[in-house]
Amino acid sequence: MPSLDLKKLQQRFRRAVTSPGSRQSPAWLGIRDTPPIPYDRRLDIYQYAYFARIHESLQDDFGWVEKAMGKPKFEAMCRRFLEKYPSRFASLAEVGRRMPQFLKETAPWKSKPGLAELARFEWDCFICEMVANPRKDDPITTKGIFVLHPAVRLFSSRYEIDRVRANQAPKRRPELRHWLIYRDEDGDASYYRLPESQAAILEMIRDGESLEKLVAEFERRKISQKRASQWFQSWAQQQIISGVQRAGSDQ
Amino acid sequence: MTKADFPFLGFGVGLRNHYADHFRSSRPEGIDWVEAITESYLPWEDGTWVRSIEALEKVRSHLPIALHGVSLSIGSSDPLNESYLHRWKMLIDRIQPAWVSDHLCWTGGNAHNVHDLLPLPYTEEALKHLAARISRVQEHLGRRLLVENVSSYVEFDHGDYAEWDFLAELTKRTGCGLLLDVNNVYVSAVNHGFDAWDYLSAIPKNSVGQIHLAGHRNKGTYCVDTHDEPVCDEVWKLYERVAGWLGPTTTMIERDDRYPEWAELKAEVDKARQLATGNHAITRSQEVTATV
Repeated sequence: MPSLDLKKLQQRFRRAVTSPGSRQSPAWLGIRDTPPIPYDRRLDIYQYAYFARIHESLQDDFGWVEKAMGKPKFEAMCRRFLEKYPSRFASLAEVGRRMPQFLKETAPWKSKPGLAELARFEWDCFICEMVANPRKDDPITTKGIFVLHPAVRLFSSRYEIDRVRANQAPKRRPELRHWLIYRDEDGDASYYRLPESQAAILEMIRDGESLEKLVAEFERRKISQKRASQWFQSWAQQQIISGVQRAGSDQ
Repeated sequence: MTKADFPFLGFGVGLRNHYADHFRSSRPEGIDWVEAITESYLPWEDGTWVRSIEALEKVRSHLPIALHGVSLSIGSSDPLNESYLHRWKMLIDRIQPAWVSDHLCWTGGNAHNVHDLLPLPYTEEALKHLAARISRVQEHLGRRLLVENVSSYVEFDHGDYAEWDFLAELTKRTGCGLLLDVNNVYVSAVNHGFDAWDYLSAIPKNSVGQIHLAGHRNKGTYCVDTHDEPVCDEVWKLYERVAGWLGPTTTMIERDDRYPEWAELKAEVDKARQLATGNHAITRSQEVTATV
């Protein structure tokens, strides 16, 4: 058999490693079948390492989803996930980025939309724990006057996350519910339910809305200056707001 | 070929979360430098810096660091990942490592990273391909790259070179250095039935900038490079021999799973130092070339 060019050889080898059952003869793959180890056992080592490494990473990122599904079903789901969304990331930590989307759009999991919501929540918690603190010399790109700490995530869902987590099959509610995910003193993601009014204001801050628009929103919602001030003090104490940006400044 | 870009830093370990407390505020006794995994600190694709970079900066303030990558995929037939190169350069600019390294392998492709170190055929085609890409990377980074030999479990039908000759030719064509993983040589020697010393003694001495030592799982008829065991006696013997042959060469212990107590890992670092200094009486004045 003539030698394979590098591209063809890599295409075939990758398929053999990532798609169980698709294996061809060693000659087709361009590899030697030399004793004492059969060639398929040699390939098994790569195949095992491929899945085990990513599976372990996904287990770390989506521990609640795994608990809700059960370990065997979670493992089977991860295999399907990798077939549909193979990693295109340099870091293993990013591989789970599309898991919520996968669960939302793929049968049989899409029939339990709470799972996709739980995965989305877990991913937000993961990002909250991973993201670096702002540096003093980082350019602030927001147009707004207040700056949310980069670890803060604003999460909205029609599902009760804690019920999904406990595998209690929550009902979909007509109204959105809101959570604030923040990094606690130990560096872990913590969260609490947010009233809709606070969620709306924090979303405006996140999106860089101007002070004028924030004031107008407080007025529209009939939130007193005293109450607004209490919110901001509380957010500052919890470091949910990490900085105050002078309007018009680019520093 | 010169070792000037890869000065002797002494003896170290891989920086892992499990041992983070030992590095937080000062240089641990008997540890001269650390190697950090590039991808654990690389900004993400959307430009987000990860929090681990803050810990790495603290370590960097009291220890020399080398960055060791696992996803460059230098041997892939896909185009070089420009986003990766850009983010890697950002990390290098922020950390100012003593040097950077990655593996002589491919990891899947730009659209499908398998996060494993896959083997390459040692053909002229692969050599030309790698030489061009390594040169491009070195140009982009403005520094020489150290390329590590990987352990492998398969060999390809067609090859124009033995692995060690391939490595030698690659260093000649690109000026890159070698990160010589003695355990990987041993594992591949067992799996493919060659003599580990034939491999090691064929390596161009002046190209070796760093040495890796690690443990593996012996499965009877073959070995798997797992980094979850202590360095085995056979690898220690090879290391002693290769250290004597190479002279003072920066060395580290890799441990990535089933982490032992710190004292046990440190004892392996001490053993590496002892075996190397036994051969060459490495003096403190040579060790302090480990400039931060």
